[in-house]
Amino acid sequence: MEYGPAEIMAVAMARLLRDGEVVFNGVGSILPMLAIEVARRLYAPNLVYLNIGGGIDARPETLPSSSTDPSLLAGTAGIVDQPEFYQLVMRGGVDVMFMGAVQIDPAGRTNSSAIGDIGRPTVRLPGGGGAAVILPTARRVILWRTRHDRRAFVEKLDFVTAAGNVDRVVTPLCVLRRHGAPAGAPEKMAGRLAVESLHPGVTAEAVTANTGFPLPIPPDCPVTPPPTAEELAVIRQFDPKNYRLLDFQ
Amino acid sequence: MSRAAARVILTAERTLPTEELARLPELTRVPHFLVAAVVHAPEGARPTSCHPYYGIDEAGVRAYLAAADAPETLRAYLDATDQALREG
Repeated sequence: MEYGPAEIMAVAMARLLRDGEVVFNGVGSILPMLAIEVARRLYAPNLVYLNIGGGIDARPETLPSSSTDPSLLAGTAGIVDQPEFYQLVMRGGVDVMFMGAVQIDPAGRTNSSAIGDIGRPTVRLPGGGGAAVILPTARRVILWRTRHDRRAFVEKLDFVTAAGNVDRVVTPLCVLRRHGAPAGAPEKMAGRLAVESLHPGVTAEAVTANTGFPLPIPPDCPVTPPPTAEELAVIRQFDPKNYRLLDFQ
Repeated sequence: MSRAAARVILTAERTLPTEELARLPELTRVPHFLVAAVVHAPEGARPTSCHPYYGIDEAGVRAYLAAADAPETLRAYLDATDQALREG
């Protein structure tokens, strides 16, 4: 079966979710919404799904084009409004947070505030939203970025918007993991990103060439298992209008 | 308190089908993932009040206060209350 970056990213994110976890996605999060649906239909039926609009366990028939769509509120098991959500995450009640970023550094810190000097930016970005609170308080943060290039993966952020419990970064090329020092690596590598798996057909050279800092890639680096027929069936059924491709245009 | 507690046990006058609560999700005060257990306890707030089902039972509160002075009388009070509730 055919698949592209959107499908491999969605399933790579879905497989990081464990049954029973409380999972949150923010605005502009089509791929995380798709990943959450794949996970709960196939391997995490008791996952608790919170979204930015506040709906608990939203069950839209098909993927909405916006993460603030009314179908994410109607018929839900309750509403976790914004103050309530921040209280929840700060007391450790959110297991997984999906978060986007414009720039990501070797330690998994993020910039979504500005390019250039923060006082006089050349590009003003959307801003951090709740990132500065959520990254250090959610138990695991999964960053995702639909472009993997040297503009996104930089040695030094133009501005540090947020830093914290980043666990994985999912890109169109690979899955990165942030952990203690990789086996055999010097202590200074602790807390830094390393490649966990390369997506099918992606070479280590391609990742290195598109990353703006030295990124550890094990010599026998695993390949991200391709989407199964079951996973692809859920994706196609839940997203008949192919909204998942919007972020790649 | 439901937010601060490590575990929440709800007592409820009535239990309803999930679909009925889902019609107005904004009225759900304590969502399911914060709750460890639910006890169906009709009249569970007596002799105090549970709006809009019943008001305070002042004589009942006085009877409780009198009974609560000693373990034996409290036990007897609780047993009698329990039996009265079971018999409806």
